[in-house]
Amino acid sequence: MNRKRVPLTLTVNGEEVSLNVEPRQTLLEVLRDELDLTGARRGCEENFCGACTVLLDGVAVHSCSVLAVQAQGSKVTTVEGLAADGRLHPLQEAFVEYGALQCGYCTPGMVLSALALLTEKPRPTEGQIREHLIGNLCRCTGYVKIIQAIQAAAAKMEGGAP
Amino acid sequence: MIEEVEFLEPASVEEAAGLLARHGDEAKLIAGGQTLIPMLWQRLITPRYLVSLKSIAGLSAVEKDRQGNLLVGAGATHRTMETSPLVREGWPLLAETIEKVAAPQIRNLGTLVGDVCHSDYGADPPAALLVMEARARIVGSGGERWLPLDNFFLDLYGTALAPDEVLAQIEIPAVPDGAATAYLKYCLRAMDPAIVGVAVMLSMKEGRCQDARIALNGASPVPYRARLAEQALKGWPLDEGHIDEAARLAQEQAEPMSDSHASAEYRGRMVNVFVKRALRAAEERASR
Repeated sequence: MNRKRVPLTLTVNGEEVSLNVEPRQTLLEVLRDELDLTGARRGCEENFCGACTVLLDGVAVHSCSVLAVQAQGSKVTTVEGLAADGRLHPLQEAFVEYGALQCGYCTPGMVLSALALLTEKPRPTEGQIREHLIGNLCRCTGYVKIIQAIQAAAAKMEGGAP
Repeated sequence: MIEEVEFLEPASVEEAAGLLARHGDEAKLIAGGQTLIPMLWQRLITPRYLVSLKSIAGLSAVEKDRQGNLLVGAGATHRTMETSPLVREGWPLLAETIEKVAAPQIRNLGTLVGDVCHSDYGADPPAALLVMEARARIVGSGGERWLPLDNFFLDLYGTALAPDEVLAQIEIPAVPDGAATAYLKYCLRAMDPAIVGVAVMLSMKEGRCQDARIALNGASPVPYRARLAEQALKGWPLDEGHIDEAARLAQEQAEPMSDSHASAEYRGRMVNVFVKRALRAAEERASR
């Protein structure tokens, strides 16, 4: 069946991408199904769990609840865009060092949410970290190590997010 | 996937209203889409046309007019509102309330006006807007009208908007000099809607309440001003007896419902608890 597609141009992890999408496709679907960026996960697909979190123009969003067409002309950052030249981002390193993941399903979303926070608040308090992660659920870890990893990464990044 | 839709991008509010009039039931407005898109996933609604408000120039503006009112455009996100120095300084109750909405990801895209139009009984902003006596500028295919938000929330998820109308802007008067405000939200988990949310504005003079405004979310199918409670406080000091009486009257006025978050009985009791706490919080700020 031929469904009507519309042109979409956006920047994904620093690279300009042009493709044709159905207006009904969410940003999550386009990232995963059209661009093979599967770091963003299908979790609840009802704007709650945060497994689909990506950065849209620098701020964290639930990509399951954004239509791709709403991201026209925007910059998207997925977890795949974090490791520059194969070296892990300090947040990713801290998550590994602190054991801040078990199944790993929530992790890309957690890391990106944390990056958005540290960009805005380079040395957040524990309370601010907890509040900021409200939109990212984890069923495995109980959040303790995640918070410790973010605090450690913040300290390492010394106020300047790379 | 969501059902097939067409994404329309009108250049003006009048054009958006025209599209709603033309397509009727088959069209829905979308700003941030943070409530709408999950509803599309769940097939609660299946519009063929999404009429985007984000393409309309100037609709995201948050500014103060010459009379000192705060004007919030339909496209202004919760994030814009909670971080705006203008809002934080001049309308702290609004900033304090919006910070408690959902989660950062949702606030980054979702709009205050969209939240108001959806009219979920557990949403946080309506109580604050009612206490601040805000009004809405509504644009339809027939013209424009102003409506106090007091008359906007009619029924469970039902507002005074006609099918071809767009709530283009909310106007919030300046907070009276010396008034203290507070918004307390009770919910069990982060991201939940309010089981009960209480917004309060208090003006005190020489230890007595000159004016009190109390509004509640979550406690009834629509948010409401607890006017009998307000009347019971005017002229009196905010001692335990008067606060208790105000809380009792607010609870009496509530029509709590049972849902997955709380039973009707529990909600009713929490109205009492949180009206007291909100009054004390506002009084404490008033005395600073």
